[in-house]
Amino acid sequence: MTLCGETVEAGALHDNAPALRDEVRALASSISPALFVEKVRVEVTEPARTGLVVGDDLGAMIDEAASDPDLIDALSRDLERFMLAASTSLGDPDEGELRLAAARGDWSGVLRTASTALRSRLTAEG
Amino acid sequence: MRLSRLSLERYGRFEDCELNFRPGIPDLHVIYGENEAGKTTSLAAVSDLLFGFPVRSPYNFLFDYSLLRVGAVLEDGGTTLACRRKKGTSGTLLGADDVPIDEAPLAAMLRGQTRDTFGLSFSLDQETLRSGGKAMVEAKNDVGRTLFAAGSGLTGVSDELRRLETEADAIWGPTNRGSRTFTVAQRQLAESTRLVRDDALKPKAWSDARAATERTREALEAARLDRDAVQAESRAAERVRRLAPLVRRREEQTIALAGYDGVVDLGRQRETAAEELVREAEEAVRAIAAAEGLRADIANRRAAVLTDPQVLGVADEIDRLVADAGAEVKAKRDLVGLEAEHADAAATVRRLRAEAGRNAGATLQRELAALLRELARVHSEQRLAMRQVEDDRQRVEERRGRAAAALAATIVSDAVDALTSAVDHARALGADADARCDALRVKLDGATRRADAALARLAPWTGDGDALACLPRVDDSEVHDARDALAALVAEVRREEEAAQRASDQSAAAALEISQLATGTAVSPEEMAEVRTERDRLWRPLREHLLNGAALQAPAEAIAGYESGVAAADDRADARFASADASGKLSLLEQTRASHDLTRRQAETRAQSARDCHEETVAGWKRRLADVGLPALEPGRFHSWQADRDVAEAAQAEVRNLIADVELSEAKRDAARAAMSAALGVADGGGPIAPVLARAERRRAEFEDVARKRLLAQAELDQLDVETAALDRRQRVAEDALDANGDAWRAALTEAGLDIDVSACSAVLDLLDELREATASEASMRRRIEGIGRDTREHAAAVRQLADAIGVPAGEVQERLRSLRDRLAAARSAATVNGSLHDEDKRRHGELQEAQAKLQATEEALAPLLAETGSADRVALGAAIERSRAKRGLADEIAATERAILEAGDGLRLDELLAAVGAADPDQVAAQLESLGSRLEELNAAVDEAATAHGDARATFAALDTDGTSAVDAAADAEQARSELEVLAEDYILKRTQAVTLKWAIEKYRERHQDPLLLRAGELFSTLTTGRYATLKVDTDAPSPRLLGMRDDTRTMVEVDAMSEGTTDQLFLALRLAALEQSVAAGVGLPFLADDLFVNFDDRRAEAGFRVLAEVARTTQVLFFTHHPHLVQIAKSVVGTELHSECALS
Repeated sequence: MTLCGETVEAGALHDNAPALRDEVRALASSISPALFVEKVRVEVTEPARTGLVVGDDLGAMIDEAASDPDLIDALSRDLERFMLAASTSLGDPDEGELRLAAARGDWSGVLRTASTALRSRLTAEG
Repeated sequence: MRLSRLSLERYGRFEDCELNFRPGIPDLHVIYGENEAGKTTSLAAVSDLLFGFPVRSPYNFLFDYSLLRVGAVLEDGGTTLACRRKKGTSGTLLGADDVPIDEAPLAAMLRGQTRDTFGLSFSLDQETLRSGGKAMVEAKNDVGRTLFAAGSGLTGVSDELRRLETEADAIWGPTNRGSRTFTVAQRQLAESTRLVRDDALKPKAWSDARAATERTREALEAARLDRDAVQAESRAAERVRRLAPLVRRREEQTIALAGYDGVVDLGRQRETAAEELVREAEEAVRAIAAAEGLRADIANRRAAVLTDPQVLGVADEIDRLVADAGAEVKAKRDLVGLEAEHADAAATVRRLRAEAGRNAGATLQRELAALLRELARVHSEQRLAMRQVEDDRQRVEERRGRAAAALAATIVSDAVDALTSAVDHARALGADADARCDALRVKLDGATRRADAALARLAPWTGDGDALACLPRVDDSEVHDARDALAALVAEVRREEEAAQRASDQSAAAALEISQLATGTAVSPEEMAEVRTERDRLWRPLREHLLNGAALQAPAEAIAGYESGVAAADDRADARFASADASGKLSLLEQTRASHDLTRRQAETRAQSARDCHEETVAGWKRRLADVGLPALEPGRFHSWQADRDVAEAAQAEVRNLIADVELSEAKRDAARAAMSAALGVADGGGPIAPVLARAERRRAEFEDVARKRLLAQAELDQLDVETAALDRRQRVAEDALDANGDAWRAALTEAGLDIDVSACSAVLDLLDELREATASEASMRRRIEGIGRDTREHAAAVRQLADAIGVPAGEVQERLRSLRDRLAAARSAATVNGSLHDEDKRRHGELQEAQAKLQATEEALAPLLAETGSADRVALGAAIERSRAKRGLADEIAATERAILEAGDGLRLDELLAAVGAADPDQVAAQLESLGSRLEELNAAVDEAATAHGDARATFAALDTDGTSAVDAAADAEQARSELEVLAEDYILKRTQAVTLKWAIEKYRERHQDPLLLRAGELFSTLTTGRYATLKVDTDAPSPRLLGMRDDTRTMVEVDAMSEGTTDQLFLALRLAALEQSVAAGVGLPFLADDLFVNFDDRRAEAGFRVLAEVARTTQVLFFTHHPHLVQIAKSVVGTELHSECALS
């Protein structure tokens, strides 16, 4: 099952993808024991924002994260060993938005998705 | 503010010491002074100058409190203040002439700083630098709290970061851990993949079952297809039958709609809007009519109201006159009392003038009066000071007399030394000398008793201790040998006696056994010998007779006797032979008894021999002892006697020692007592020493008391000489001041033109002040009385003039004023009614215009609808709207019918459904439905049969699959594990990226929000440590924020506690200087006083320290006190010889 479209809650959906998958599976099971949902992919994006939603400096910095070369470099080094471990078990990625982007070296894309989820998470935490 | 000069006039050890600080940048000055040169004193002097002396000052050890003076020339911007400070409670800031000056200019320069804040921020020594720095890094003061405030507020975010890292770590981590979900999924995937690989080869049965399943499935699907085709045909026929009525209704509605051709469909919204416009237009028409009627009514009412414009024109003037009339009445009432007060005031002025006499005419300025009062007060104080000096001098003389008398009365006796020595000697014996002597005596008695008892225990020996001491000692080994020898003999005797006894017992036992055998048949050898001896005796006369022919006395009897003897012997021999065993045993027992008897006799012989030997040995031992005078005791008893002898000799020795101790103690006590008796001049009565010592100590205390009093008297006389000298100085100073004040007094009197005695100055000046105030009061009252009369006249004239002008009849002023007021009230009432009617008319006019505008607007809005529908007016338009609504209703019904057709049309299009219904014959449809029902039943049975076959085949295949475990399941598990792993990988990347991003954002946030104070302190710290440390950071992630030093590698963080002593000093100085720079930037630029702050700095860091201070000295003055010459040289090298400023304390 793939969720796509635009919503301001896109960050929360990304952040809670495992819980969402469990919920979908439970729903499927309640419909029929023979119905099993194997994967739930979240490809939801946020609507284009006309201005800065997060008012404080920290939010602004999180928004800037995807374009910071130092952070991109630090992230690629941080995830280097995990990517090796994942490719050993799973092979080259053919699906999975973040792993695919990371394998292609699109760290800005990874950071954009993570920043969206992070801002949503921080907002929810208050 | 800066110090241009610091004058230590009389302060601590300083007198007339002056330090000058040259102007210019950098305002850094090094003050050098060796130890005890007064650096700390100078720092204290600056504080005392700026903030006053504390109540207790330690710097009066050379000059009295009243003489302490410290001065300075202070510069602040363009202002210069030369001042001095004395100790006191008020007026302590002095000018050059020692006269108190205003503190305000100095307070302005201090910018609100107090002694405490100045000490904390601007005046530092090593101790205050460390205590203040420690308080800062522990956030115990404002500066410290400021340091740690920046960057806080992200606590919740930091917690979120930790949660993210924990969540990511629960999925995957660099180290392998079984609890991580990614690792678990990895293992599951590997296991499932292995199973898939292992089960890749399927058995033939599985393939056959699968093929059978496929075949039955295809058969089932074919049956289902046939059944579905018939079902579809049946559903189509049923649909036609179901839709036929709806199609007919649609045709009827279509025909009805055709009747509305030419009617305009306005639409529901436009219809509602048009109806609303019509309603609004009608409401506007009604509103116009109502407004026009109301306006006509208002015009009539306004025409009936009469106004008085002439009175209203002077309304303000009438109101003023009415108000003035009230004031006039009150003024007339007050006038009586005021005139009485004026008379009293005039009398008071006359009385005071008379009292002031010739000074009454003087015009004294306030400044001059204040000067005269001040001079008179100073004169009074000076006289008081003079009197105090005289009083003090009188008290000093009285004390001198008492001290001299006390000195004369205290004569120290010559015997005091001897008595003191004797008492000291007696005290050296101890306070229990008598008790010790008594105790020794008691102890001696006890020892003597014990010694006598010990001698008594030596009986049978008798004698005293000396005789005992003369006796020779027998060596213990000799005693032991003798005792052992005797013991061996005794043992031998006992052993032999026991052997004899044992042999005797055994012999008796054998005898008893022999007697028992003898009473039986056994014949013993003795018995045999006895009977044979008797036989032989009887034979012997017979043999002699026969052989030798000896005569027989009685041959018959001899022969009979011999025959009986032979018979007896034969009888015994027969008996012995008959009981040979018993006889043999009897014989053996006899031998045994003989042997035991022999043994007994031999043992008795040896025992006796040993007994004789023992007696000889004992006798020899006793002779040995008796020969030397020792008691003749057996060795064992002698050994005990020797032990008792040792005890007796020890007791004798103890007695001798105690006698010596008693004699020695009593001799010392007697000697000390004799010495004290001699010093006291009394005869020595012997006995205990305590009474004599007590008496001697009392006498000695009396002597010491006299000596102490004499010393005190002498000290008092010395102190009085000092005080007398001080009083002389005070008197001279007071007299000089009194003369100077007298000159000033006379000059001021001349200037004022007064003739006053200084003692009466205050009273005269008070009288003159009272006269001036009374005169002013009298004039004021007079002016008020005149003003009341003038106001009354002017008021009456004004009333008359106004009343004449508007035609009020003549009469009393009050009466005419009342008439004016009444007319004004009536005119105002009419004007109010007229005004409200005017407002009402204006409002109605507005409503009329609004209704007209609304009507016009609705008509303009309705115009297009009228044209579109061809209606002539609003009524015709209403009919057109109704027709439009009816046409649309019909169209809606057709649409509803078509929706019903579609809903019942099994998803087919409308045209298909209409065509199908149109083409069908209703009669044939019923017959077709019946035929299709039969056919459908047959096909359902076929489907059931095929489904059963397929179910059996599937069961067979499922059983094979279950038995063979699971290549398929393993593949499914592997796929599921892979799916799980992919999800976890996505989740981990997301969580980890969030964590990295948040950490990066927090660090950037803290960098941007770092407090300027911390930033500057970090720069200064880097400079002071010559780059060893890069900057300072605050660790806000710790349980409580803490300050850390970042090393030059920008990675290593060092806690303050881990820094060396010198580095810690540099850290504290950096923090303090950063705070100082902030204070200076805020306008609080006081001099920074540093007392040897570089003692723990090496030369390179000291140089860096001076560079920092020179930088600070560009904005505020820095005075660096040190006693290290090398620091002076470093400072000179840093700021340059031409700019170096140095002072010396001497």
